[in-house]
Parts: sequence; structure tokens; C-alpha cells
Amino acid sequence: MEINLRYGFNKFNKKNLATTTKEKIPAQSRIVRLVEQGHITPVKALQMLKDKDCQLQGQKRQEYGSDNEENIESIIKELDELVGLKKIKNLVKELQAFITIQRYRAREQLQTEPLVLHMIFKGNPGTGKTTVARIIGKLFKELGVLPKGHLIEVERADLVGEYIGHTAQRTRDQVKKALGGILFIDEAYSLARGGEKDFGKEAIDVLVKAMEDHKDEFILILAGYKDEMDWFLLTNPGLRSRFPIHMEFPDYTVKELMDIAALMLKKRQYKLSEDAAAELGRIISSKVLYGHQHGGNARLVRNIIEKAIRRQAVRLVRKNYVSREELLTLCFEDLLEATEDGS
Amino acid sequence: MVAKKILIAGKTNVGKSSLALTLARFLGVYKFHVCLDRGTGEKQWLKYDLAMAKRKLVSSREYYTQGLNTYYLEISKVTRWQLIDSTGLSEDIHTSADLRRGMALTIAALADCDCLLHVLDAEKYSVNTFSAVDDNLAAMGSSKPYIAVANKIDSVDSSAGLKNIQRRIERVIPCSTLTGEGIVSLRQLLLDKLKQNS
Ligand SMILES: Nc1nc2c(ncn2[C@@H]2O[C@H](COP(=O)(O)OP(=O)(O)OP(=O)(O)O)[C@@H](O)[C@H]2O)c(=O)[nH]1
Ligand SMILES: Nc1ncnc2c1ncn2[C@@H]1O[C@H](COP(=O)(O)OP(=O)(O)O)[C@@H](O)[C@H]1O
Ligand SMILES: [Mg+2]
Ligand SMILES: [Mg+2]
Repeated sequence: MEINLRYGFNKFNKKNLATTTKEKIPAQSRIVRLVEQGHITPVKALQMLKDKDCQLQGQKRQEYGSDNEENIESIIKELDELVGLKKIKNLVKELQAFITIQRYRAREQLQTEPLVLHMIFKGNPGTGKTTVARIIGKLFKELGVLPKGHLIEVERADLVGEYIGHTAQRTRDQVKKALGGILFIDEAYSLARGGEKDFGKEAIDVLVKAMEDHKDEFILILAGYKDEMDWFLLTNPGLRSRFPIHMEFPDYTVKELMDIAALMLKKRQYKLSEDAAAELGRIISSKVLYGHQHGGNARLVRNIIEKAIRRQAVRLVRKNYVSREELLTLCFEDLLEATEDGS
Repeated sequence: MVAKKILIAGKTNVGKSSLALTLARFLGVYKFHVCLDRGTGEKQWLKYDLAMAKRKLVSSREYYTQGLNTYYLEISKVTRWQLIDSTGLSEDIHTSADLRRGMALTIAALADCDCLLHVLDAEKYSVNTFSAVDDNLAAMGSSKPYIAVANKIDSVDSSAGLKNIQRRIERVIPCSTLTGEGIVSLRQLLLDKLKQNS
């Protein structure tokens, strides 16, 4: 009890009410001063405060434009529509709030925090890393952090060359393509695979230099399996401090994978027959049991569905007459064949 | 976890200080730290229990509270509130510099708080015409979480006043710090409001 109270005590000492209020919005502190000096009545102050509130709200809208706000809203909606990923969604919204407030502070000529937004994404394949990165790119464009917000997705083979100097050039080329947006490196840990002599090291050095030379011009996201990424950062301590944002993408549950399937089907305007739905459930459960690492998570679901869609086409094209219902429906046999050849 | 700030504001002598203490009691907090800030730069920290606080901080005199008195209420291990009692606002520019400074602090706190608890005196409004202070405090309700209470409904001629207030302000909680009437509903509404904007 005693400790708790003292905690409140210190906290308040640091955060003096009157001064924080004054610092926050200069116009407000002027109103407060006018009351104190007897130039205006408290009633007048209340009215001015109210006007100020309305003005501020108007200003916000003006600065970003209503178009812009709508865009942000629809991007956030796209994020929210993803199945699960609760923590990730919160983190992205936190980032959005942070960036917005830093902007407001800059406008009021208050000290701002540096915006270092390079990120580490940890998670198994198919857990939504690329999808979320793409959404972040769009969001950051609307927030004014990135001029373009596009995503360049690369892996080791796109960066590392066959001889000395080749790697540096290839890596620089990829950075150049990503300027104004996000450079997303999948399985980034593989850059450290071959040790000191490996060309991967050369790619890392070029990336680090690019982060300095092109500060604020692009965002680098390193993605990969959790354990591998942890090890990668451990063995490259110089890198760690440059990536302040870490996001962990958990494996989806069977229920989430089924929801993802439903979402994918809806978007493509297909549906599953009853026995097909049961079969999909069975396939997903058995893959999850077998182990997520190899399960492929949402990617597995997408592959099954896309393959089933192709099988259905083959099945229907042979027929003389095809009904609307048949066009909409994926059957048990479409699914069966979809997984037969080992996908 | 940052403590929520609830500002208690209104005209003088309506029962703001009494309400702060009554609320504390209904929240089960009988002992607390209170910080007295008169805007002079120096702040005074005191540890009071309810009886002591009442003796020192409540009086029938007008403008008895000068400055911001912040009660640090530990409602549970995870919930802390700052209940901020304030200087009553006058319609006109007050001649006392100390009181003007106090009112300035009220205005500053108004811009900073998480919820405005507006106290009106039902006893007074049975005869007085509606004050611009109360009209304008009520108008703040459109830009931040806001609760209005009509206090002193225990008093014999408060019912006309309560009606007057209800005609001006849409939603008012009738209460009495003397009898405790209405404080339970007030507590519930506060909890709801603060949950909404967390
Ligand atoms: N009858 C009645 N009297 C009350 C009630 N609440 C407060 N009072 C009385 O009203 C007077 C003013 O109470 P305070 O709580 O000091 O009022 P305040 O708004 O803080 O006043 P200032 O700080 O002086 O502006 C005191 O004499 C209280 O005893 C109530 O519910 N009923
Ligand atoms: N939470 C989700 N909700 C809906 N679809 C998802 C979700 N996560 C992933 N997907 C889909 O799964 C597929 C693979 O996701 P992807 O982002 O490429 O994963 P990763 O980059 O982690 O390998 C994509 O088609 C994507 O649209
Ligand atoms: Mg990917
Ligand atoms: Mg008082």
C-alpha cells in the first residue's frame, strides 16, 4: 500500500498538471493566463475553450483532408478483417497513434521522438507476415511517413550474387526499388548462414549502410521463423538496435484457419458443399496435428482452395449445362483431388 | 497504468468538496493522499482520512476551496483515480487575484481531465435564474465525457430547483452528499464513462 501511494506521488511530481496543460496547447495556456490576470471572465474562458476545441477538430480534418482520413479508415478496416492476429492489430494501431501524435507535436513545435520504424517479423510461413507488411505500407503512406508505401518482397537469392561486388550491386538495386516504400526480406536469417566469408554478410553491410544513407526514405522489414530470427539478431548485435519494432505472428488455430478459408471463399464468390466443408476441416486438423512448421498455415488453406477451384473448373467444363449453383459450389471431390498430389 | 482524472467543477458552495469526499467513501477509500495546488509553484501533500479531510476542506463559506485539491484514490490494485476538487467559477471577473488564479487552474484542468463532473445546487435554483457558468460548463459535455449532478436534494425546497436544472440540462443525477442519495448511481455512471474512453 505504502509503495503504491509513493508511486502515485512521484508520478504526479513529474507530471505537473498546470505545466503539462500549458505545454500541450499554447492557445489554451493563453486563455488560462487571461483568466488569472483578470482580463476575461471564467465564462468567457469556457466559451473560448469550446471554440478552440471545435477549431482543433476542424484543423485536424483540414490538414489530412477528408479523403485521407477515409483512406486510413479503410486500411484499418482491411487490417481488422484479417482473422485473429489480435496483438499485431493492436501494435499497428499503436504505431498509427504514435505517428499521428508525433505529427501534432511537430506542428506545435514540441520536441518529437525520432521515427525509427524498421521492423522484425517473426513467425512460420503463412502466418500473415507479408499481408500485414503490405497493409502497413499503405497505412504509412496515408500517414505521410512513406511517399509511396509499396512493398518490395525479396529473399536471399535476390540479394546475394556469385562473386565479390556482385552482391553489393544487387542489394543496392533492391534498396533502390524499395525507396519510398518497404523492403521486405523473407527468411532474412539466411543472410547470415554461411558465416564470415559468405556473401550474405556483404548484403547485410550494404543494408545497414543504406539505412543510414536513406534514413526516412524506406522501411526495412526482416522476416523469418522465430527461432532463426532470434538467433540471427543474437549473432548480429549491431543490427538489433536498428530494429525497434518486433512483431510475432502466432500459428493459427484450426478454427482460425477455417475462418480464413471462409473469408477467402467469400472474396472469390465460392462456397463449399456440406461434405466439402467437413473434408476441409479434416484436412486442416490433420495438418495442424502434423505440425505448424510444415503446415503452411493460411498459405496451405489458400493452396487448397485455389487448387479446388481449378479442379471444379475441369469438372464443370465437360458438362453441357452448368447452373449458377454449380458454378458457386466446390464439392467434396474437388477438395479430394486438391490434396491428392501432395500439396 | 495511468490514473484517470476526474475534475469536479461548478459554482461556489454547490458542494464540490463534499461530493469529492462522499464519492471517496462510496468507493471504499477512507484514507488517501491529497495534493493542494494553489498555482504558486509550491504544492502541499497531505495524508488524510475522511473525517480529517472533511474538517479541513469543507466549509459553508464561499470560495473555501482555492486552487486544485487532487485526491489520489486507490480503488483497487489496478484502478487509480485522481479526483480533482476545484475553485468555484464566478460569472464575473473576481477582484481577488488568488481566486482568479484558482479559477484559471480550474480552466486548465478542464482541458486536461478525462471526465468532467459538473455540480449544481438544486437548493439555489429554486429562486435564482440559471447561471452562465452552468450553461457553459454543460456545453463542454459535447467535447468530453461529462456528468451533471444536482446536489442538496435533501433540502426541503430543492424540488423546484431540480426541475429548473432538468429543464436546462438533459441528463442530471439528483443527489445529496448529506444523505448519500444518488451517489451509487453517480458512481456507476462514472465507472461506465471512464471505461468507455479508456
Ligand atoms: N443540505 C445539503 N448541504 C450540503 C450538501 N452538500 C454540501 N452541502 C453544504 O454546502 C456547503 C458547501 O459545501 P462544499 O462542499 O464546501 O462546497 P464547494 O462547492 O466545495 O464550495 P467552495 O469550495 O467554497 O466553492 C457546506 O456547508 C456543506 O455542508 C447536501 O447534499 N445537502
Ligand atoms: N489472418 C489472416 N486472415 C485472412 N487471410 C490471411 C491471414 N493471414 C494470412 N492470410 C492469407 O494467407 C496467405 C499467406 O499469407 P502471407 O502474408 O503471405 O504469409 P507469410 O508472409 O507469413 O508467409 C495470403 O493469401 C493471405 O492473404
Ligand atoms: Mg511471406
Ligand atoms: Mg470546496
